[in-house]
Amino acid sequence: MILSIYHEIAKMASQKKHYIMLLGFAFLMVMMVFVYWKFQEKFSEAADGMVQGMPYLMKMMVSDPMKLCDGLLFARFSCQILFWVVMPIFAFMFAGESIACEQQDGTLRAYLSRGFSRTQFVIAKFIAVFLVILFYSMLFAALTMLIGIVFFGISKVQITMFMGVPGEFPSAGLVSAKKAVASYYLATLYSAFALSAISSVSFLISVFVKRMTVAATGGLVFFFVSFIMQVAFSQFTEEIRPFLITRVMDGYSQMFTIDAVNWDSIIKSIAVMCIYWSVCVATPVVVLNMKEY
Amino acid sequence: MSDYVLTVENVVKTFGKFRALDGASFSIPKGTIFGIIGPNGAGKSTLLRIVTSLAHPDSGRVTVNGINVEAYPRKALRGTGAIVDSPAFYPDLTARLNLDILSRGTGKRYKARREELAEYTGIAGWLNHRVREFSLGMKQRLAITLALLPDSHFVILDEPTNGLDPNGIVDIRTLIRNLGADLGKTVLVTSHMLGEIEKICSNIAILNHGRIAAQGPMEEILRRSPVTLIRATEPDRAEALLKETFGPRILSIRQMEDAPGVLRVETESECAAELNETLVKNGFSVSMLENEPDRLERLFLELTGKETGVRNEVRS
Repeated sequence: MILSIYHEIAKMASQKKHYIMLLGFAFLMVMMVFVYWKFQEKFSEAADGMVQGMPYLMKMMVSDPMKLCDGLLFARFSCQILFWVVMPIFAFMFAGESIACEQQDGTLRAYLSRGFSRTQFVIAKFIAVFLVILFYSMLFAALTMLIGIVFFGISKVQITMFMGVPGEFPSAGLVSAKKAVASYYLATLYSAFALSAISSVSFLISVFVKRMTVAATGGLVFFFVSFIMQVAFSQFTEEIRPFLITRVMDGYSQMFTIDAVNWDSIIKSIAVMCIYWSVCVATPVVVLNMKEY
Repeated sequence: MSDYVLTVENVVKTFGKFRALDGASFSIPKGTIFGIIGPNGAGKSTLLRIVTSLAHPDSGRVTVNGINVEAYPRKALRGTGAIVDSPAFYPDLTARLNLDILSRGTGKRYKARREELAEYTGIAGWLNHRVREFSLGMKQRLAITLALLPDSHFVILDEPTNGLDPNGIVDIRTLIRNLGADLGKTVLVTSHMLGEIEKICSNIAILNHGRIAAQGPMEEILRRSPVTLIRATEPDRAEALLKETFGPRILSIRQMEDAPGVLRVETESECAAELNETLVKNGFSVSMLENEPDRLERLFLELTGKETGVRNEVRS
């Protein structure tokens, strides 16, 4: 199995889409740095207009607002977009092409004609996709933090707001930088698992189609429809909301809230994640074992 | 231990109402280079897919080294290297990594063998190059190297000379022949290029409408009904003379419509010299006599239900 995973990673590492990923990330960072500068200005203006006699957090905002708008907050802001929008696209690309591309190129037939285990083939592919997602999640999280610190510095205390699911921001609070960094990486780790569950939809589609674009686009459509159902029509989708694929990202947002982690919500998210994993990996195993090439 | 590397017994495979294989049966003796020929849609690809466990037969049995492929694919195909359809590789990976991935070979022994085989097939200098840089001929060589790895004793090659230029065809033909002669491998080759099969293979099977129309050692199959083409003066009289002289030894004799003056004589056994001698002794002038032109092609066309082509007869 380890050899199979190594081979799958080698296959993925040879693709040119890595350059696209890095370019996409670089573009996002440039945009975010610009946006964050503007945000700092607005935040500073708002703080100037505030009065004395406020809670500690507010006092701090007034006395030295820029300390709160540091590089770590920049990283956490950026990661919201990175993990909700950019990384899912990359994850769908990797998962979508995993089996579909091999069917299209004929390499699947070449591999299977040797009688190698098809189950092992599917599982190795899925693990490899997860490892690549994990690698990029950690890499991008580290680079984002580094860029944030280089451009905006880091303060000893961190604000906990602006970290939740869109529309569900937790209340503001303060934590130490150390704790904030720990939660930042915990959230990144969680996001890698969540993204692997999200992209498993494309993985599932890829066993039925021969075009990577069909599999990746199919997963993306599924994801964004779920996202719209969860965010825009939340009051009408209460019954199905717990099972939406975007539900798995709730846990990621919870990790970001640092102190106010809702473990109940995280456990439910992980349960949904496991359902998607099971269905989206077991089905390709069954299909690939039955399918003729 | 069986003397046959591959045994196919009454294999039936249908796709909807279309019967791709209709009770195909044949065996491949160890150490032979076995060719399968058949017209398009005869079931060659389906047969190879079933042999390599890519497809499942509706009924019948396929064994490789006595092991049922359907029941134990991994065990049965352990020593089998197959290239089904055109050679497919990961274009952005090096040839070396492609070989490692697609053969799942590991260890020092494997690596030594990989280098040795790459040397043998003539791609040693290209192992560190990406496959996207390879020509079709190089890809075929790489495919043959892959089929031999990690330690295959039975190699299946589907249309190995397809799309190659004449030099490439000669190279690959020589390579395949040497697989049997030098390395002692059993090779199964399919091709629609009958001349290639005739030059490469020691045994053949002709597949038509999902059934094996003929099979066995090449020489034996081609000896079954020798045909001699004779251009002699007064063909009507010559025909009558030969019929009278040879009697039942002549299976059929007729004048060819598209090649006036040429007699097509199908005999029970090889007797071109005798035919010539009889005609000359009786005062006929023989301007052309050729024994069994395009033997395999003729047999193939006869068995697959088509008339022998005029082109071949005139050329001969």
